[in-house]
Amino acid sequence: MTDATQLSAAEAKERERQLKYYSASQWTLIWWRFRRHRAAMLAASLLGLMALAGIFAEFVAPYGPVSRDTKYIEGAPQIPRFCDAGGCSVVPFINGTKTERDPVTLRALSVPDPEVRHYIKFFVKGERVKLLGFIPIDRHLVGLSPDVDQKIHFWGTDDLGRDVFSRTIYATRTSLSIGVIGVLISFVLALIIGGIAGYFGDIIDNVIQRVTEVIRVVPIIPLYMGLAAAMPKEWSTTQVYFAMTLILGLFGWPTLARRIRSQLLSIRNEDYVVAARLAGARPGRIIAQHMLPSFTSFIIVDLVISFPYMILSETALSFVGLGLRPPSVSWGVLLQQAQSVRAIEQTPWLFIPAIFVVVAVLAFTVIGDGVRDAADPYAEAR
Amino acid sequence: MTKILDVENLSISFRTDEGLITPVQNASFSVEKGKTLGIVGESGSGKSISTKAAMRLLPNTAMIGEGSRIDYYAKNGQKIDVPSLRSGDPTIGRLRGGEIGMIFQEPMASFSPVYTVGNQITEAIRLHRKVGRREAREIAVDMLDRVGLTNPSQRVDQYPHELSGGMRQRAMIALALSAGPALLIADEPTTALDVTIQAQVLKLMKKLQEELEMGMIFITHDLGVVAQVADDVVVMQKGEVVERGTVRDVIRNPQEDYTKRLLAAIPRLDRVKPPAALTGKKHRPLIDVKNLVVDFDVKTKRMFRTDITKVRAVDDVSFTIKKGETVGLVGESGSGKTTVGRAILRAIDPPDGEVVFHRKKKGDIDLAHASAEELRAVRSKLNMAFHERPVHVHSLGGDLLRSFRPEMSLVFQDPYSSLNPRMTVRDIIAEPLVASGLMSNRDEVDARVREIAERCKIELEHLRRFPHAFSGGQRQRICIARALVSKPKFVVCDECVSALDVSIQAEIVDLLKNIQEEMGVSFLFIAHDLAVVAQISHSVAVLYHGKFVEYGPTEKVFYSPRHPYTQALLSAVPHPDPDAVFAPIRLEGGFRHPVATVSGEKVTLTDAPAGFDPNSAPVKLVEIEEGHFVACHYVEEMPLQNPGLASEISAPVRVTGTVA
Repeated sequence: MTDATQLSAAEAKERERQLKYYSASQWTLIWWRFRRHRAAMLAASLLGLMALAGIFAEFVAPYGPVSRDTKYIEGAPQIPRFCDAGGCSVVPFINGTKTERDPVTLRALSVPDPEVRHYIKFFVKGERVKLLGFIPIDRHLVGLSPDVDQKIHFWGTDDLGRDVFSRTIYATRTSLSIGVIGVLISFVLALIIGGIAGYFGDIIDNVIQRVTEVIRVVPIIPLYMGLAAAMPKEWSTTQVYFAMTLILGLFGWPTLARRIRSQLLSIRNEDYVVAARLAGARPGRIIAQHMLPSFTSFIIVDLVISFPYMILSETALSFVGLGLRPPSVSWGVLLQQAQSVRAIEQTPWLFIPAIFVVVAVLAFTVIGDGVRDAADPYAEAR
Repeated sequence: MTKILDVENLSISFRTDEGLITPVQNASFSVEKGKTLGIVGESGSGKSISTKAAMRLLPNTAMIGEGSRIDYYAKNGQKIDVPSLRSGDPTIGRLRGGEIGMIFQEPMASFSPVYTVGNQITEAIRLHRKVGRREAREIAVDMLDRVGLTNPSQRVDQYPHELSGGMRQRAMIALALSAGPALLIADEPTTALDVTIQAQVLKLMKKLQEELEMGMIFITHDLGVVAQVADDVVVMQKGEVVERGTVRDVIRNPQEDYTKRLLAAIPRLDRVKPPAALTGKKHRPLIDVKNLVVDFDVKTKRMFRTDITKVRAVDDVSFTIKKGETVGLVGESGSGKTTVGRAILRAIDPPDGEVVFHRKKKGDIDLAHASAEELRAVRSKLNMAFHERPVHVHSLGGDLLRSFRPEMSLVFQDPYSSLNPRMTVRDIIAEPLVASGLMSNRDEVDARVREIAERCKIELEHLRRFPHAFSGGQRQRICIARALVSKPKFVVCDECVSALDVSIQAEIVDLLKNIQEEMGVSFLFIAHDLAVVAQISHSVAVLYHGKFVEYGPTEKVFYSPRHPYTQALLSAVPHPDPDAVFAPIRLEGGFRHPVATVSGEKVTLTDAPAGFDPNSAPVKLVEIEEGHFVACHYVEEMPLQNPGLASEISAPVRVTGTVA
């Protein structure tokens, strides 16, 4: 009796599992396979964290990107600690600071003062900012109590006393969003241009291909430089920002457009496309409902892989001083400030944003890899 | 007799995402010198995999089970224990090609396109025999000669794409035999070939095997082929050997249910009773195809210009499909069967000739030449217009064609590529309703989809699933449901059962017959398998190089064929009966149309006499008895006694085609 019920329970479970597998859509299947790709999952969580921090920069960053701490200029990173000479504590703390003179250069230096402890607090009151640009808040994720006459700088400060940690968080938002919007612009362009070329073929395809080639042969960096230099000096940082994304987006589409075109060409004569045509579907419906879904996975992979290029382009342009300009912050802008021998010598912590660039680019590449493996229907055979 | 290959308790498993699967379980078989073992089974029965194991051709993920034994007795008497060989062992190289030759199914894919045939054969020879380049070439030419290729010394320098499918398969046989193997494994070697070519290749293989005293393993799903070539048979089902014995015992006196069912499911031309032709006024014509011509442009790119040559795929074809009738269309590959079907459906744009779709009421409107006012009227009352008048499908375009689509549909050959993998079964079936705007209410669509799914025996709970969950037969049901959901009057079935196993083939044919009875739909049934066509078709047309050579009621065309090509085609079909006389007619250098002489109402067909100049008379389709047309050199009748009767007398000779 119990045996029989157990068996049928097991059977029911198996049936359930099968049903789940068979009615799983392409995306579910890809997700199942992607989940098993550990490196990609790790990269995805890292990137997710970065994106979250960027989106909620006002909350995550203890201070604004341009707020100065005149008492702690070119200060070293303050690593939260649990123990010091005076014993240990459960709550992490940082030491206070005092100013000393370097005995050799006589430069004023901020050094930790082991006598004073400032405990780190969560959800502390601080600067009044607008979350996402419209929700006013005055609480921040971490910080020191407002009663203390000191600010916390996890990653130190720059030559104007601005908090590197906060600036990096804000820069993450700018750089990632430029990547996303730039990729979206080029994606939409690629979809339209590649779609038209691939579906209609013949002369239209020929003309579009030649135009694409012309755009592809223009050397990218000089072109960016020229266009960026052509931006009026009096433009606001927002205008420059949008112009930058537009420039990046407008020149990023050819590769993707080619991919879409060739995919469309290759499945144009598939039986199921013919079947759709014979079912009386119009070209628009055939492209959108029948053709595009069959290679969206490839497009997604392409998109994911093209993010790093966008981010790197932005960083490179800003780094050489042709992209975003201060006071807006992006990874490139931050790194531009760090490009002096003096920075390397005296304030190496200004290079921390470079780690972000490396991590973000690597993460995108690893995720792209994972998605490609997951989206490849033949992956199981290998 | 001496055994060459002895396989015992062979189990093979694969580790996959779904867990461990075991496509072969405890299979045992052996091959003796000079004998042919036929391995028969449906797709997925493990027949190919078990022989690949003998050549160590399994992928790395495969595991050979405990207690499995594969012993090969080499030409020098050495016994090779195949599973124990390490990868990289030179014995494996000797085994492949030198000891065991292999012929694959797809002659297109088994040659490298970038080397000449001779190059590839001499390479195999020099790998296994110590001979020089020149000598190897001589052996290659000799082999090509033995497999019956004309002009072997020229063929040897040709590239694979210059050879036809049949010639390529012969060259493949030459390649497999070039190193003098003791055992030849042929994996569905004739499945991709036309029946007439298949018959030649089968004869050739049999002859070569006798000459060379080889052992041979012949893997196939076709019991008819096995009956012709094999001495012993092993029947496999789901990885297990279910029956073994001599070919005569297994086919004449099967012991296992599975073998019995398999045998029963095979349509046999000599046992099928085709449906009687639909004659009489009661059966009104649904579609009239008149003088259909389809040309394809073949583009050759040169440096600065593109040369376009026209290839005529369908040449002046005329026939009628009646309401509720199934017309079979048979012919070898490249004969234009598919093109005829697609041209009628207007999947190919735009053919010459007329395709007229008759509707309930008489009346005529040529949509191509209608005045703007008439067209507007038609457009506004689109459906009404279609209901009242015959529709000239050939001249429809744009929106008119799109809104006419639900009246006709197509079932494809390959159930894997014709279903969009990204859509659920429900959406796939509903597509013709939704895309053409026939229905938009979701509940209505659902109700119709469910009704059709039930009729096609698709479980309703499967509607939520995606196509990847289904087997070939189930997918083909989905395709049929999609084709029928808009309740069309006319469906083209383009080789819709040829990719399926025989038992499933039978189910699908039954399904189509039932649907025809219930819904009164007409089918154009395109297939190369004559027996299946005979099962379902009321009338049948034989196509050769884009032209009809014979057309008429199935029982006439298949059971008293009058055209030499039809006769050759029918004689080439192997029957699953080891005692049946298998004497395929080989039409050396093509065929000659018979000569028709008309006297009075009687038409006499005579063989073209020797020395008859084929150009002296045009070829025409001549009606030799009621509804039975044969392509003939039409010789004008002797002078008539009473000139007044001339028109009446020439009337039965409906000449529907001419060739310049």
